[in-house]
Amino acid sequence: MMATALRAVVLLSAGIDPVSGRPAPVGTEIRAIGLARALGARAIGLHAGLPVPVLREYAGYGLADIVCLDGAGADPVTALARAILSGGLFAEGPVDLVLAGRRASGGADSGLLPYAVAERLGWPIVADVAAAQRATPAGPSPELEIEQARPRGARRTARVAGPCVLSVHEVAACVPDFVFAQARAAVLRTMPAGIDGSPPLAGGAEERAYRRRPRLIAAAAQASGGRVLVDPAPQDAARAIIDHLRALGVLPPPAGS
Amino acid sequence: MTGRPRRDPRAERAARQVGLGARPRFDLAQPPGGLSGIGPSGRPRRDPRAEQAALLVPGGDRPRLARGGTGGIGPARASAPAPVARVIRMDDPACLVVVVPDLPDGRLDRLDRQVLGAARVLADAASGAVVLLGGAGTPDLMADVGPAGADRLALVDLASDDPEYRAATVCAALAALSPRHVLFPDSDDGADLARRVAAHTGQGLMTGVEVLTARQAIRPSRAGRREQISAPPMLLTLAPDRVAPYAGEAREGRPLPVDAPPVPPGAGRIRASALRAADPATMNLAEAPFVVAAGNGVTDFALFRSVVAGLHATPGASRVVCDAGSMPRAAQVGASGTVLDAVCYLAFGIAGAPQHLQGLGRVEHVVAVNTDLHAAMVARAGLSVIADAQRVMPALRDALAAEDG
Repeated sequence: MMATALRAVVLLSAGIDPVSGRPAPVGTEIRAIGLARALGARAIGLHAGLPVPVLREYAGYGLADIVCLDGAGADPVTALARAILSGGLFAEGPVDLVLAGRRASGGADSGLLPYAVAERLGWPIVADVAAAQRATPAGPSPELEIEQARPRGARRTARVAGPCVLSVHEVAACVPDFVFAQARAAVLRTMPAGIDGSPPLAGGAEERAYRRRPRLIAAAAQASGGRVLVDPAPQDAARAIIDHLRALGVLPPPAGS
Repeated sequence: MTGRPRRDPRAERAARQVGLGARPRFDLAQPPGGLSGIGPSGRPRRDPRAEQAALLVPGGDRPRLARGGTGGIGPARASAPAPVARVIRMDDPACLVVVVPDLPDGRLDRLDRQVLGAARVLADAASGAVVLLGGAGTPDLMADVGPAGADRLALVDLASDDPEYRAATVCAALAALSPRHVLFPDSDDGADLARRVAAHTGQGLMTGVEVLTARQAIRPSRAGRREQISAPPMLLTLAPDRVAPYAGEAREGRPLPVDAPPVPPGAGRIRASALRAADPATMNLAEAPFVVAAGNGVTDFALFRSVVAGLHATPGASRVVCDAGSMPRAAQVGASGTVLDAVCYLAFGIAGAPQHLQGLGRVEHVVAVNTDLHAAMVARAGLSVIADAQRVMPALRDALAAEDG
């Protein structure tokens, strides 16, 4: 039996560039598109909001079809979940996979939306995905084997049975090439979100220009006065270095002990 | 006659003579005319040297005088009585502030301690107690949490490798404790757990809080160009290195039973395996924990690579070495290369140009092997070996090989 292509939805946000403040695609969402392509999935972009020009840039990274949910501003989570479950996105069948960046760039940037969408859909979510592949190449129920990125280059493998939500990490290597012609040829479809009501006013949270504050200085910077060995025998120097590294805990203890 | 008392310098001098040797010796510090301390002019005599010695603060390379105080800080001062260890008890807290730390290896790490410090700020303002929600089966935790600022220690089953089950366990414990605030570290695992809990409970979550006081919390938004200010919400995650860890007197850390209903084992939709450390030889230099770098003092790069492999470290290099083509450009440390986030940095034959030292940004421990005692790298290092790197490296390789057998 041939493996059926996964049907993936990539959640897109209208991001801004952190330096210039101009509209720009978000790096993790570009990687989400690349991950969908790496999985051999048919991908549709889904944006809760009006069709804005920056969405065309995502199309240049390999999304032929982008759906914008008009009027989703009041409750984007409900709008996205409804659109995903409606079955109106793919003609062939239901959605197997929802891909998102781990954190948007330009809105509240809380990284909470993929979790809220997963909770609303009742699907499992795996965060910080660095790479993914299908664990069962053939079969109707897609099971994915996922590499989760962790600090200091560590990785954790997780298996999740579909349908599921994945949020993609910045270190994912699957960055697709940008094709200008694709960006021009992309179709931005608009669908009514079916949510009535106006966007909620930001309640309680006041907003102002970011003020850069110093971080706590780690107890590292020992001014001076480290131990100095002047012209030791090479063997003594090697022993001193090994003992020092062991005391710091960066060098594992010898195999015998 | 002038009316002044007439002095006899010879007699005064003779009075100060000490010892009876071949050469006469005189103790000029001794007050003349006996021990009264009143000089011949009638005014009390000062001894500026003795006064300065009394003001001298012990320790330090340069003499430092504690002026302006009452003096007497010098060596003559009696040592202060040893501080009595006191444990602060909180018997009837007005509210609870729960901390859910990461506990890598079952111990509090730096960010966990900072989160406890932040929780202490919120709890002290409301005379509440800080509850640390830890995983059962972490025996080291008991002695550790009190000094870090936790009044209570609640142990729940967090050992599962299913993140959904862990989130459900935390949600059940929080429902049983009904805390006023819940704080998570904004690390990868902590942020994941916090967002799961927030999505599950429907509570708002303030992520990556950078400033936290009892009245307001501030977090960046809109790609770090704006910031949101609000009262501290119920759920928040704390960004690293923003709030100081608790440094006051030790708290009790009393075990707190949680009578949460048992969480049914989840459907097991996600099966996560254990963490797999990266291969140090090929990992990204910017996130490597231990970097060994070669500079101009290294000429044998096959030897250097074998030493790096023996130390299980990530290879780095200075600009000179990369320009010469001896090491790949990706290994370059410094302003025009990679800025490290390592725990330890071992530099072979690197003097430490300012542009190179910029690359050591947050490196905690530096070890330098260099022929120049006055190199900048030696000043930065915690251990410096003033020797030729080409002679130390074979010894290091042989010592490591001998240990491995």
